[in-house]
Amino acid sequence: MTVTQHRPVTREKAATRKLPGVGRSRRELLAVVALVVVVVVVALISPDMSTTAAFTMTFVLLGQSWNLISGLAGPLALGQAAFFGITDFTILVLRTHGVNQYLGIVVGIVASVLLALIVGLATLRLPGFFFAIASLMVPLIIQAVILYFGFFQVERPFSPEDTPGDFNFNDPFVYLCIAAVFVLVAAVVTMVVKGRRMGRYFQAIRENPRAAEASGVPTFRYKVYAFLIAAVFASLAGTFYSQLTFVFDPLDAFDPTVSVQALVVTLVGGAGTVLGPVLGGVIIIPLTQLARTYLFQLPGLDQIAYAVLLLAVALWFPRGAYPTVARALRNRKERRCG
Amino acid sequence: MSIVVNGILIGALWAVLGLGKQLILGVLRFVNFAHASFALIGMYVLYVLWNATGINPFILVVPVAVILGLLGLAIERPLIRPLVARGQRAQMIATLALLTLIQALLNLGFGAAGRTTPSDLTTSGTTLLPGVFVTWSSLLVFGFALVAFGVVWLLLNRTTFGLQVLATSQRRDSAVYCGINVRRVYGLAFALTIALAGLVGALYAIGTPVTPTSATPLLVLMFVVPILGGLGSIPGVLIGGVIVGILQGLTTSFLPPQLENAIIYLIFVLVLMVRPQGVLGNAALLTERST
Amino acid sequence: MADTPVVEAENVRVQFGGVVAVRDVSLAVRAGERIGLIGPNGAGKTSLVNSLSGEIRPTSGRVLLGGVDVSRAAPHRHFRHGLSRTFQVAHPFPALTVIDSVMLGPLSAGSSVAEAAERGYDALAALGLDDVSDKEMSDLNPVTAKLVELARIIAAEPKVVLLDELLAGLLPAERRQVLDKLIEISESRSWATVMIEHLIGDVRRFCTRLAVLVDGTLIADGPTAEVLADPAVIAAYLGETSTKEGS
Repeated sequence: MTVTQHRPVTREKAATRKLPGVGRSRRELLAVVALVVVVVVVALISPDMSTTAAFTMTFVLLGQSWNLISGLAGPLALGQAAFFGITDFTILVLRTHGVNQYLGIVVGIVASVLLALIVGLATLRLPGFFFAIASLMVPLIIQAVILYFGFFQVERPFSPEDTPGDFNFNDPFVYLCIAAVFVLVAAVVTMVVKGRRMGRYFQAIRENPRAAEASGVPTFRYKVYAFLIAAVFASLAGTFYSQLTFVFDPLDAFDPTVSVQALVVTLVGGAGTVLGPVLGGVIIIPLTQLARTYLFQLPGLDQIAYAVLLLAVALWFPRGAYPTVARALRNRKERRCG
Repeated sequence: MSIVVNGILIGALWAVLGLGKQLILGVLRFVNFAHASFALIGMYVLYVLWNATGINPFILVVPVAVILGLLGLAIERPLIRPLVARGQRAQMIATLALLTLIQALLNLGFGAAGRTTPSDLTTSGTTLLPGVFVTWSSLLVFGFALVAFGVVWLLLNRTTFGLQVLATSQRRDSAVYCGINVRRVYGLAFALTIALAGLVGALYAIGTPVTPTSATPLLVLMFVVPILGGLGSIPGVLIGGVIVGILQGLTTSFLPPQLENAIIYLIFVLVLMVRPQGVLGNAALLTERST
Repeated sequence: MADTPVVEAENVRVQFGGVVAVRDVSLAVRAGERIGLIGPNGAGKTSLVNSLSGEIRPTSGRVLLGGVDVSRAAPHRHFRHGLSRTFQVAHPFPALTVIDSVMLGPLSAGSSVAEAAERGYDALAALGLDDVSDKEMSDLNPVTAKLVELARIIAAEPKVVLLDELLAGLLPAERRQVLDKLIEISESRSWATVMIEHLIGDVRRFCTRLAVLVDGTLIADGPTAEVLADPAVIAAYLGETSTKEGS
């Protein structure tokens, strides 16, 4: 019971009055930069590698989206595919009508944020379980509506020349580099948010929404904020996805598998951390992409891989790679220090 | 009038779907997103059995339910048991994975094309009331649903097993001291819910083309029905099922069928927003164990 | 003005469906008062506390904090009107570090992150808890966890404090230790404290006043010694639980 005795605060003690975790976030950001640089360098090997790397960055962004709402702020969002798909769809439809792609991207992101606002205001007040069900159904509903209006498949207009003024490049390496920049931006945003008022509220809500509210946190409002930021990240993922694939199919873009990928990427790396989604994405997406390209030609095998991975993570490995390793290292260090 | 009668008939089927969900959610306190996927497996098992034997599908739904029940028993120990202790969040994540896994595996095995188990009873029928035509098949489905409902009702209210299930749902720890083998009870009850899902899937699949995405409407329904009827209440799902059946009939006759799911979803969200007390009360029960 | 109640329930009724959990209870607490809310299980104690903290909206009646009607406001508004509370859980924020959890109150009261951290560290220092500030809440032993709960409340600088079975789960010696701290702090800061507690010994030591709830109705409200001697209270409540005293 020594801790309960009242002791005067010594100068030495005062010097340790530094908030924990801030240094860790910075180190994580360095690791993110390093990983992204490695991916970009590896991508220089061949155009195939560039494509794989660009997909990797796309799904890292989707993971970062899920990480912000569910890893950091708490509410279990199972329908991030909605924001991913709506942006993809908007950009393509506008493009087929000859609208400049930059404008299309902006409209796509705005549409996604508006959707997040409506869904968030309607459902984030509900207890976690009901929010999870509702969020799972959002992409399915949008899918039904889009199919109803007859957009079974939207082909991407193809132009053989690079037109940077229309965000059109034929070398996937260019998309990779831009996506990599946005992954870094999302990581920085996550880190900054984490250290500030907003991130502290998020984490309190994640740990215990009732106690957070009783401690003065406007939990509903901040859950909506988290949902909106997450929608922007998912939209960015949708933006790059729209440039890297040839056909938009609502049955694929809004499939629960897309949302599952967001979960897998984050949970394998470690939810709630800055590094987690990047680490998880860099481990998983290239593996499944390469396996699909070179090993098996069976349809839907990557879906099976993601589902099995997610099941395994949920059952046996809930912490994720980075926190597990970090904890083990910390314990070793503590043991060595005495 | 025709809409109402047919709504009641199909509603009974949704009531059975909701009943399984109610058992697993309200009684076992386990969130299973994959519940609808087991109905999907039921649809394909029916197709495979019918393809192999050619027996009338309305007879085959019984072995389908048994097979699904056995499947439920088989996966309970490795998959479900560890998740019970992990809490609600892990349950939702893992069963979402299961949902996409089952869908992808069926896609791999059967392809995306529709598979139909036909029955001539789906087109012939009788005039029940003046101006109200019902097919034999919807009457049979209604009959099966009522029987299934009755059996579960008796099982829960008139047998030791039912008493054990209810005791376990009230106080898991106390149930242990009463000499109840909680794990066995839990396993059997879980298997029962899967068997019910299989039965619903099989009945739904007769005369309807089945694809790996056929479970999606059921995914919505299985949450709507118990919540409409009131979580935790067994008779409530009967009412919830019938309401959904009639609403479905109304939407499909006045709106394009493609939007059916969208409408049901909207109804669902409205229910959550209009009746928050009931929902919240039960949500508190659910979140209790989540930490 | 000093005598205005800092928290006041006016004919508060809480109803769940057909069940009345709190039946038109009026209760006013002034600064420096320490009220024990006692009654058998299911008497509506937690429902009453939850309605004071804003988690449950009273079906009818009003809740006033410092004279302001907050009956329809969200719980975080209650906090900003000077109300802090504990919950019946060992660790409200299991994966947060101690300092992150303690600084949350000042942060949501409007301090910057740096100021909130400073106030959090001060609150921890006041209880001699400097050593555990970087630990995760779930790694704390039971006594330290309860003291961190106290530090959380100190840091929030409330006027009203609701303690829902704060001492539950502690051994008798530990209860004494935490209770001594609590008395010292609530006296020096003249909190208006409402405490739900089952052990009469602890209630007698801590509370200046007792309110007794039975079946949602307030059957007694007065100085501790008087209420404990009230025959109606003994018949309704104390008779059946006095055996618990030593447990």
